[in-house]
Amino acid sequence: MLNETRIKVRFILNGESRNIECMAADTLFDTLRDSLGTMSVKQGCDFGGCGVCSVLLDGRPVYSCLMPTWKVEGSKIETLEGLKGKELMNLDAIQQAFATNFAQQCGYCTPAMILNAKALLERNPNPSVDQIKDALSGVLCRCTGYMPIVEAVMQAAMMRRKKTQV
Amino acid sequence: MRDLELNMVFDPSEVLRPSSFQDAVETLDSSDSKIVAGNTSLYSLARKGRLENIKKLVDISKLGISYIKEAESQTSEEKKILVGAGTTFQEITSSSLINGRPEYAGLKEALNKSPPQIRNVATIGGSICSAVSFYDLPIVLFALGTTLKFFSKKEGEHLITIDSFFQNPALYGKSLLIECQFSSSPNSASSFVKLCRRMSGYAVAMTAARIKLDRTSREIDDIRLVIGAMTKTPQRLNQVEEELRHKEPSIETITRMCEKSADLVHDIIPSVHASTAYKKRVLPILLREAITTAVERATER
Repeated sequence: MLNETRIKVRFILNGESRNIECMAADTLFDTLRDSLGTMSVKQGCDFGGCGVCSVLLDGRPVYSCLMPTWKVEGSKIETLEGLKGKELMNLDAIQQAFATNFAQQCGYCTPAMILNAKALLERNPNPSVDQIKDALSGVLCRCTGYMPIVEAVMQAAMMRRKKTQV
Repeated sequence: MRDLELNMVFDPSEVLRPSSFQDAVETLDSSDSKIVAGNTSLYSLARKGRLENIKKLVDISKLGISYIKEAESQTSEEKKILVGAGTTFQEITSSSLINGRPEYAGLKEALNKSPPQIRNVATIGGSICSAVSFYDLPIVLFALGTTLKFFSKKEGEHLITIDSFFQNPALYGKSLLIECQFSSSPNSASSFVKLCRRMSGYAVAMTAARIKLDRTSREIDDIRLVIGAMTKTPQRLNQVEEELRHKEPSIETITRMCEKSADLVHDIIPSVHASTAYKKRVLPILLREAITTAVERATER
Protein backbone atom coordinates (compact mmCIF):
# COMPACT_ATOMS: atom_id res chain seq x y z
CA MET A 1 0.00 0.00 0.00
CA LEU A 2 1.32 3.43 -0.89
CA ASN A 3 2.13 5.69 2.02
CA GLU A 4 -0.02 8.82 2.28
CA THR A 5 2.08 10.96 4.65
CA ARG A 6 1.97 14.54 3.41
CA ILE A 7 4.56 17.28 3.76
CA LYS A 8 3.56 20.96 3.72
CA VAL A 9 5.65 23.10 1.35
CA ARG A 10 5.50 26.85 0.72
CA PHE A 11 7.17 28.52 -2.25
CA ILE A 12 6.73 31.34 -4.75
CA LEU A 13 5.69 30.25 -8.23
CA ASN A 14 5.95 32.94 -10.90
CA GLY A 15 5.49 35.66 -8.27
CA GLU A 16 2.54 34.03 -6.51
CA SER A 17 2.75 32.42 -3.09
CA ARG A 18 1.80 28.72 -3.07
CA ASN A 19 1.06 26.44 -0.13
CA ILE A 20 0.83 22.82 -1.11
CA GLU A 21 1.07 19.34 0.34
CA CYS A 22 3.26 16.68 -1.24
CA MET A 23 4.63 13.21 -0.61
CA ALA A 24 8.31 12.66 0.17
CA ALA A 25 8.86 11.04 -3.23
CA ASP A 26 7.07 13.69 -5.32
CA THR A 27 9.19 15.50 -7.88
CA LEU A 28 8.87 19.22 -8.56
CA PHE A 29 7.96 18.25 -12.13
CA ASP A 30 4.89 16.31 -10.97
CA THR A 31 3.86 19.08 -8.59
CA LEU A 32 4.21 21.86 -11.15
CA ARG A 33 2.52 20.11 -14.00
CA ASP A 34 -0.10 17.93 -12.37
CA SER A 35 -0.97 19.82 -9.19
CA LEU A 36 -0.38 23.42 -10.27
CA GLY A 37 -1.12 23.26 -13.99
CA THR A 38 2.09 24.85 -15.30
CA MET A 39 1.97 23.05 -18.62
CA SER A 40 5.07 24.69 -20.14
CA VAL A 41 7.16 22.28 -18.06
CA LYS A 42 7.56 19.25 -20.33
CA GLN A 43 8.13 15.60 -19.53
CA GLY A 44 11.16 14.03 -21.15
CA CYS A 45 13.56 11.39 -19.96
CA ASP A 46 12.88 11.59 -16.16
CA PHE A 47 16.64 11.07 -15.62
CA GLY A 48 18.05 14.60 -15.97
CA GLY A 49 19.32 13.90 -19.47
CA CYS A 50 17.14 15.91 -21.86
CA GLY A 51 16.44 19.13 -19.96
CA VAL A 52 12.90 19.83 -21.21
CA CYS A 53 11.64 19.88 -17.61
CA SER A 54 14.02 22.75 -16.68
CA VAL A 55 12.69 25.47 -14.40
CA LEU A 56 14.44 28.32 -12.57
CA LEU A 57 15.00 27.80 -8.85
CA ASP A 58 15.99 31.11 -7.24
CA GLY A 59 17.09 32.30 -10.68
CA ARG A 60 19.18 29.26 -11.60
CA PRO A 61 18.12 26.41 -13.92
CA VAL A 62 17.47 22.98 -12.41
CA TYR A 63 15.93 19.77 -13.70
CA SER A 64 12.48 19.59 -12.10
CA CYS A 65 12.36 15.81 -12.69
CA LEU A 66 15.30 15.39 -10.28
CA MET A 67 14.15 17.89 -7.66
CA PRO A 68 12.05 16.63 -4.74
CA THR A 69 9.17 19.04 -4.12
CA TRP A 70 9.94 19.30 -0.39
CA LYS A 71 13.39 20.64 -1.30
CA VAL A 72 12.02 23.91 -2.74
CA GLU A 73 10.55 25.11 0.57
CA GLY A 74 10.93 28.90 0.73
CA SER A 75 12.31 29.20 -2.82
CA LYS A 76 11.25 31.14 -5.89
CA ILE A 77 10.31 29.02 -8.90
CA GLU A 78 9.96 30.46 -12.40
CA THR A 79 8.49 28.73 -15.42
CA LEU A 80 7.75 30.06 -18.88
CA GLU A 81 4.32 31.15 -17.64
CA GLY A 82 6.11 33.69 -15.43
CA LEU A 83 7.75 35.58 -18.27
CA LYS A 84 6.09 38.93 -18.65
CA GLY A 85 4.30 39.45 -21.93
CA LYS A 86 1.99 36.47 -22.11
CA GLU A 87 -0.07 38.08 -24.86
CA LEU A 88 0.77 37.25 -28.47
CA MET A 89 1.89 40.78 -29.39
CA ASN A 90 3.58 41.51 -26.06
CA LEU A 91 6.35 38.96 -25.88
CA ASP A 92 9.44 39.02 -23.71
CA ALA A 93 12.65 39.92 -25.62
CA ILE A 94 13.84 36.28 -25.53
CA GLN A 95 10.49 35.03 -26.84
CA GLN A 96 10.56 37.66 -29.62
CA ALA A 97 14.09 36.68 -30.61
CA PHE A 98 13.15 32.98 -30.72
CA ALA A 99 10.23 33.78 -33.03
CA THR A 100 12.31 36.07 -35.28
CA ASN A 101 15.12 33.54 -35.65
CA PHE A 102 12.83 30.51 -36.18
CA ALA A 103 14.48 29.04 -33.10
CA GLN A 104 11.71 26.54 -32.50
CA GLN A 105 10.26 23.80 -34.65
CA CYS A 106 8.17 21.32 -32.69
CA GLY A 107 8.52 23.63 -29.66
CA TYR A 108 8.87 20.90 -27.06
CA CYS A 109 12.26 22.10 -25.77
CA THR A 110 11.52 25.80 -26.29
CA PRO A 111 10.27 26.67 -22.76
CA ALA A 112 13.40 25.11 -21.27
CA MET A 113 15.67 26.83 -23.81
CA ILE A 114 14.08 30.21 -23.05
CA LEU A 115 14.39 29.76 -19.28
CA ASN A 116 18.05 28.74 -19.57
CA ALA A 117 18.67 31.78 -21.79
CA LYS A 118 16.91 34.00 -19.24
CA ALA A 119 19.06 32.67 -16.39
CA LEU A 120 22.18 33.38 -18.45
CA LEU A 121 21.18 36.89 -19.55
CA GLU A 122 20.18 37.93 -16.02
CA ARG A 123 23.75 37.23 -14.88
CA ASN A 124 25.63 38.01 -18.06
CA PRO A 125 23.98 40.62 -20.34
CA ASN A 126 26.65 40.26 -23.04
CA PRO A 127 27.52 36.56 -23.36
CA SER A 128 29.89 35.02 -25.89
CA VAL A 129 28.77 32.21 -28.21
CA ASP A 130 30.65 29.71 -26.04
CA GLN A 131 28.92 30.98 -22.92
CA ILE A 132 25.54 30.63 -24.63
CA LYS A 133 26.37 27.09 -25.74
CA ASP A 134 27.38 26.23 -22.18
CA ALA A 135 24.18 27.72 -20.77
CA LEU A 136 22.05 25.68 -23.21
CA SER A 137 24.12 22.51 -22.93
CA GLY A 138 21.66 20.87 -20.56
CA VAL A 139 18.71 20.95 -22.97
CA LEU A 140 18.41 18.69 -26.01
CA CYS A 141 16.71 19.88 -29.20
CA ARG A 142 16.00 17.10 -31.65
CA CYS A 143 14.65 19.11 -34.59
CA THR A 144 15.69 22.78 -34.90
CA GLY A 145 19.43 22.44 -34.79
CA TYR A 146 21.18 24.60 -32.27
CA MET A 147 22.45 27.53 -34.34
CA PRO A 148 19.09 29.37 -34.65
CA ILE A 149 18.69 29.01 -30.89
CA VAL A 150 22.18 30.41 -30.20
CA GLU A 151 21.49 33.27 -32.64
CA ALA A 152 18.17 33.97 -30.92
CA VAL A 153 19.90 34.27 -27.55
CA MET A 154 22.52 36.61 -29.07
CA GLN A 155 19.73 38.79 -30.46
CA ALA A 156 17.78 38.70 -27.21
CA ALA A 157 20.89 39.83 -25.35
CA MET A 158 21.25 42.76 -27.75
CA MET A 159 17.56 43.68 -27.41
CA ARG A 160 17.76 43.60 -23.62
CA ARG A 161 20.93 45.73 -23.60
CA LYS A 162 19.33 48.32 -25.89
CA LYS A 163 16.25 48.44 -23.66
CA THR A 164 18.43 48.98 -20.60
CA GLN A 165 20.33 51.80 -22.33
CA VAL A 166 17.05 53.59 -23.24
CA MET B 1 -1.30 13.43 -9.23
CA ARG B 2 1.27 10.91 -8.05
CA ASP B 3 3.72 9.21 -10.35
CA LEU B 4 2.43 5.71 -9.60
CA GLU B 5 5.13 4.00 -11.64
CA LEU B 6 7.77 5.72 -9.49
CA ASN B 7 5.84 5.13 -6.27
CA MET B 8 5.71 1.40 -6.93
CA VAL B 9 9.49 1.27 -6.43
CA PHE B 10 10.10 4.35 -4.28
CA ASP B 11 7.77 5.35 -1.49
CA PRO B 12 9.55 7.06 1.41
CA SER B 13 7.27 8.22 4.21
CA GLU B 14 9.25 11.06 5.77
CA VAL B 15 12.03 13.59 5.37
CA LEU B 16 14.41 13.98 8.31
CA ARG B 17 16.38 17.21 8.73
CA PRO B 18 19.14 16.61 11.30
CA SER B 19 20.82 19.69 12.73
CA SER B 20 24.03 18.04 13.94
CA PHE B 21 26.52 15.51 12.57
CA GLN B 22 25.66 13.21 15.49
CA ASP B 23 21.94 13.30 14.65
CA ALA B 24 22.72 12.70 10.96
CA VAL B 25 24.77 9.56 11.55
CA GLU B 26 22.15 8.26 14.03
CA THR B 27 19.71 8.12 11.11
CA LEU B 28 22.11 5.86 9.22
CA ASP B 29 21.72 3.12 11.83
CA SER B 30 18.58 1.90 10.15
CA SER B 31 18.82 0.40 6.68
CA ASP B 32 15.68 2.21 5.50
CA SER B 33 17.21 5.71 5.46
CA LYS B 34 19.22 7.47 2.78
CA ILE B 35 21.13 10.74 2.81
CA VAL B 36 20.20 13.12 0.01
CA ALA B 37 22.39 16.06 -0.99
CA GLY B 38 22.02 17.38 -4.55
CA ASN B 39 19.47 14.71 -5.51
CA THR B 40 20.94 14.22 -8.98
CA SER B 41 21.02 10.44 -8.68
CA LEU B 42 18.14 9.91 -6.23
CA TYR B 43 15.36 9.41 -8.78
CA SER B 44 17.58 7.57 -11.25
CA LEU B 45 18.36 4.99 -8.58
CA ALA B 46 14.72 4.93 -7.48
CA ARG B 47 13.37 4.27 -10.96
CA LYS B 48 15.83 1.39 -11.30
CA GLY B 49 14.27 -0.15 -8.17
CA ARG B 50 17.36 0.31 -6.02
CA LEU B 51 15.65 2.31 -3.26
CA GLU B 52 12.63 0.10 -2.67
CA ASN B 53 13.33 -0.31 1.04
CA ILE B 54 14.03 3.40 1.69
CA LYS B 55 11.46 4.96 4.01
CA LYS B 56 13.37 7.98 5.34
CA LEU B 57 15.17 10.63 3.30
CA VAL B 58 17.82 12.49 5.28
CA ASP B 59 18.22 16.10 4.16
CA ILE B 60 21.69 17.33 5.20
CA SER B 61 21.30 20.88 3.91
CA LYS B 62 20.97 22.29 7.47
CA LEU B 63 24.35 20.96 8.64
CA GLY B 64 26.37 24.00 7.54
CA ILE B 65 28.62 22.06 5.19
CA SER B 66 28.35 24.35 2.16
CA TYR B 67 31.52 26.44 2.05
CA ILE B 68 34.86 26.85 0.31
CA LYS B 69 37.73 28.51 2.15
CA GLU B 70 41.46 28.45 2.76
CA ALA B 71 42.71 26.62 5.84
CA GLU B 72 43.76 28.99 8.60
CA SER B 73 47.28 27.65 9.14
CA GLN B 74 49.07 27.84 5.82
CA THR B 75 52.70 27.44 4.88
CA SER B 76 54.16 29.56 2.11
CA GLU B 77 54.88 26.36 0.15
CA GLU B 78 51.50 24.70 0.44
CA LYS B 79 48.03 26.26 0.40
CA LYS B 80 45.22 24.05 1.64
CA ILE B 81 41.62 24.55 0.51
CA LEU B 82 38.67 23.23 2.52
CA VAL B 83 35.42 22.49 0.71
CA GLY B 84 32.29 21.49 2.64
CA ALA B 85 30.72 18.29 1.35
CA GLY B 86 27.44 20.10 0.64
CA THR B 87 29.07 22.69 -1.64
CA THR B 88 27.64 22.69 -5.15
CA PHE B 89 29.67 22.46 -8.35
CA GLN B 90 28.55 26.00 -9.18
CA GLU B 91 29.83 27.37 -5.87
CA ILE B 92 33.21 25.73 -6.47
CA THR B 93 33.64 26.90 -10.08
CA SER B 94 32.73 30.48 -9.19
CA SER B 95 35.15 30.63 -6.24
CA SER B 96 38.18 32.92 -6.53
CA LEU B 97 40.17 30.20 -4.73
CA ILE B 98 39.75 27.94 -7.79
CA ASN B 99 39.48 30.29 -10.76
CA GLY B 100 42.62 31.03 -12.75
CA ARG B 101 44.84 28.71 -10.69
CA PRO B 102 46.68 26.07 -12.78
CA GLU B 103 46.77 23.63 -9.87
CA TYR B 104 42.95 23.47 -9.99
CA ALA B 105 42.48 23.81 -13.77
CA GLY B 106 41.60 20.10 -14.02
CA LEU B 107 39.02 20.49 -11.27
CA LYS B 108 37.34 23.33 -13.13
CA GLU B 109 37.41 21.38 -16.40
CA ALA B 110 35.68 18.41 -14.78
CA LEU B 111 33.04 20.55 -13.07
CA ASN B 112 32.24 22.44 -16.28
CA LYS B 113 31.53 19.23 -18.18
CA SER B 114 28.19 19.07 -16.34
CA PRO B 115 25.33 21.24 -17.63
CA PRO B 116 24.20 24.22 -15.50
CA GLN B 117 21.15 22.30 -14.23
CA ILE B 118 23.47 19.77 -12.60
CA ARG B 119 26.15 22.28 -11.52
CA ASN B 120 23.52 24.26 -9.60
CA VAL B 121 22.49 21.36 -7.36
CA ALA B 122 25.11 18.57 -7.46
CA THR B 123 27.48 18.55 -4.49
CA ILE B 124 31.12 17.56 -4.17
CA GLY B 125 30.23 15.17 -1.34
CA GLY B 126 27.48 13.47 -3.30
CA SER B 127 29.74 12.85 -6.26
CA ILE B 128 32.36 11.19 -4.04
CA CYS B 129 29.97 9.14 -1.91
CA SER B 130 28.22 7.77 -4.99
CA ALA B 131 31.57 5.97 -5.40
CA VAL B 132 31.16 5.23 -9.09
CA SER B 133 33.94 5.19 -11.62
CA PHE B 134 32.13 7.20 -14.29
CA TYR B 135 31.56 10.51 -12.44
CA ASP B 136 33.96 13.23 -13.61
CA LEU B 137 34.69 15.09 -10.38
CA PRO B 138 36.03 12.24 -8.18
CA ILE B 139 38.65 11.43 -10.82
CA VAL B 140 40.21 14.88 -10.47
CA LEU B 141 39.83 14.94 -6.68
CA PHE B 142 41.67 11.61 -6.64
CA ALA B 143 44.45 13.08 -8.80
CA LEU B 144 44.68 16.10 -6.48
CA GLY B 145 45.32 13.76 -3.53
CA THR B 146 42.23 14.94 -1.67
CA THR B 147 41.80 14.18 2.01
CA LEU B 148 38.26 13.42 3.17
CA LYS B 149 36.90 14.36 6.58
CA PHE B 150 34.22 11.94 7.74
CA PHE B 151 32.09 11.90 10.87
CA SER B 152 31.09 8.58 12.40
CA LYS B 153 29.51 7.57 15.72
CA LYS B 154 32.56 5.57 16.70
CA GLU B 155 35.38 7.91 15.68
CA GLY B 156 33.77 11.36 15.52
CA GLU B 157 35.56 13.56 12.98
CA HIS B 158 38.42 11.79 11.26
CA LEU B 159 40.50 12.14 8.10
CA ILE B 160 41.18 9.54 5.44
CA THR B 161 42.85 9.77 2.05
CA ILE B 162 40.71 9.51 -1.06
CA ASP B 163 42.96 6.58 -2.06
CA SER B 164 41.76 4.65 1.03
CA PHE B 165 38.15 5.58 0.36
CA PHE B 166 38.15 4.24 -3.18
CA GLN B 167 39.82 0.99 -2.08
CA ASN B 168 36.60 0.11 -0.25
CA PRO B 169 33.85 2.77 -0.29
CA ALA B 170 31.37 0.39 1.40
CA LEU B 171 33.33 0.79 4.66
CA TYR B 172 32.07 4.36 4.96
CA GLY B 173 28.35 3.63 4.46
CA LYS B 174 27.52 4.54 8.09
CA SER B 175 29.70 7.68 8.09
CA LEU B 176 28.92 11.20 6.96
CA LEU B 177 31.33 12.99 4.62
CA ILE B 178 31.62 16.55 5.88
CA GLU B 179 34.65 18.09 4.15
CA CYS B 180 37.15 17.67 1.31
CA GLN B 181 40.65 19.09 1.65
CA PHE B 182 43.17 19.57 -1.10
CA SER B 183 46.45 21.42 -1.32
CA SER B 184 48.38 23.23 -3.97
CA SER B 185 52.07 23.90 -4.14
CA PRO B 186 54.20 26.12 -6.39
CA ASN B 187 55.02 24.69 -9.84
CA SER B 188 52.09 22.29 -9.78
CA ALA B 189 49.16 22.00 -12.19
CA SER B 190 46.31 19.63 -12.98
CA SER B 191 44.31 18.56 -16.03
CA PHE B 192 41.29 16.45 -16.93
CA VAL B 193 40.57 14.71 -20.24
CA LYS B 194 37.29 12.99 -21.01
CA LEU B 195 36.19 10.90 -23.96
CA CYS B 196 32.42 10.91 -24.25
CA ARG B 197 29.59 10.80 -26.75
CA ARG B 198 28.04 13.97 -25.34
CA MET B 199 30.05 16.37 -23.18
CA SER B 200 27.57 16.37 -20.31
CA GLY B 201 27.04 12.61 -20.57
CA TYR B 202 28.90 9.85 -18.80
CA ALA B 203 32.47 9.24 -19.92
CA VAL B 204 33.53 6.37 -22.13
CA ALA B 205 36.97 6.84 -20.60
CA MET B 206 38.75 9.65 -18.74
CA THR B 207 42.03 10.58 -17.14
CA ALA B 208 43.20 13.22 -14.69
CA ALA B 209 46.74 14.30 -13.89
CA ARG B 210 48.39 16.41 -11.22
CA ILE B 211 52.03 17.23 -11.75
CA LYS B 212 54.56 19.14 -9.70
CA LEU B 213 57.78 20.21 -11.40
CA ASP B 214 61.06 20.66 -9.56
CA ARG B 215 61.76 24.37 -9.19
CA THR B 216 65.35 24.22 -10.47
CA SER B 217 65.76 21.10 -12.62
CA ARG B 218 62.19 21.30 -14.07
CA GLU B 219 62.00 17.52 -13.81
CA ILE B 220 58.79 15.89 -12.61
CA ASP B 221 59.01 16.11 -8.84
CA ASP B 222 55.66 14.54 -8.05
CA ILE B 223 52.88 13.08 -10.20
CA ARG B 224 49.46 11.52 -9.66
CA LEU B 225 47.57 9.90 -12.55
CA VAL B 226 44.03 8.57 -12.26
CA ILE B 227 41.74 6.82 -14.74
CA GLY B 228 37.96 6.69 -14.62
CA ALA B 229 35.14 4.85 -16.42
CA MET B 230 37.58 2.07 -17.29
CA THR B 231 37.73 -0.01 -14.11
CA LYS B 232 35.10 -0.63 -11.43
CA THR B 233 36.34 2.22 -9.25
CA PRO B 234 38.68 5.11 -10.14
CA GLN B 235 42.23 3.81 -10.23
CA ARG B 236 45.69 5.33 -9.81
CA LEU B 237 48.40 4.37 -12.27
CA ASN B 238 51.17 3.90 -9.70
CA GLN B 239 53.59 2.20 -12.07
CA VAL B 240 53.35 4.88 -14.73
CA GLU B 241 53.77 7.53 -12.04
CA GLU B 242 56.87 5.79 -10.75
CA GLU B 243 58.37 5.59 -14.24
CA LEU B 244 57.83 9.31 -14.84
CA ARG B 245 58.95 10.62 -11.44
CA HIS B 246 62.29 12.51 -11.56
CA LYS B 247 62.31 12.43 -15.34
CA GLU B 248 62.42 15.36 -17.69
CA PRO B 249 58.87 15.74 -19.03
CA SER B 250 59.74 15.57 -22.73
CA ILE B 251 57.04 14.48 -25.16
CA GLU B 252 59.11 11.42 -26.10
CA THR B 253 59.40 10.24 -22.48
CA ILE B 254 55.72 10.88 -21.80
CA THR B 255 54.60 9.09 -24.99
CA ARG B 256 56.81 6.08 -24.26
CA MET B 257 55.49 5.70 -20.71
CA CYS B 258 51.88 6.20 -21.74
CA GLU B 259 52.13 3.49 -24.38
CA LYS B 260 53.00 1.05 -21.61
CA SER B 261 49.95 2.05 -19.56
CA ALA B 262 47.42 -0.15 -21.38
CA ASP B 263 49.39 -3.26 -20.42
CA LEU B 264 49.61 -2.17 -16.80
CA VAL B 265 45.85 -1.95 -16.21
CA HIS B 266 44.48 -5.49 -16.13
CA ASP B 267 40.88 -5.05 -15.04
CA ILE B 268 39.45 -2.75 -17.72
CA ILE B 269 35.73 -3.40 -18.07
CA PRO B 270 33.63 -2.82 -21.20
CA SER B 271 30.62 -0.51 -21.26
CA VAL B 272 27.66 -0.21 -23.61
CA HIS B 273 29.59 2.29 -25.76
CA ALA B 274 33.10 0.85 -25.70
CA SER B 275 34.73 -2.58 -25.60
CA THR B 276 37.69 -3.42 -23.39
CA ALA B 277 39.94 -3.44 -26.48
CA TYR B 278 38.77 0.05 -27.45
CA LYS B 279 39.36 1.41 -23.95
CA LYS B 280 42.85 -0.10 -23.95
CA ARG B 281 43.49 1.66 -27.26
CA VAL B 282 42.39 5.11 -26.06
CA LEU B 283 43.98 4.96 -22.60
CA PRO B 284 47.52 5.95 -23.71
CA ILE B 285 46.13 8.76 -25.88
CA LEU B 286 44.02 10.29 -23.12
CA LEU B 287 46.80 9.85 -20.61
CA ARG B 288 49.36 11.57 -22.82
CA GLU B 289 47.02 14.50 -23.34
CA ALA B 290 46.37 14.83 -19.61
CA ILE B 291 50.08 14.70 -18.73
CA THR B 292 51.28 17.08 -21.46
CA THR B 293 48.52 19.59 -20.61
CA ALA B 294 49.41 19.51 -16.91
CA VAL B 295 53.12 19.85 -17.70
CA GLU B 296 52.45 22.84 -19.97
CA ARG B 297 50.39 24.51 -17.26
CA ALA B 298 53.02 23.85 -14.58
CA THR B 299 55.79 25.14 -16.89
CA GLU B 300 53.93 28.40 -17.53
CA ARG B 301 53.76 29.21 -13.80
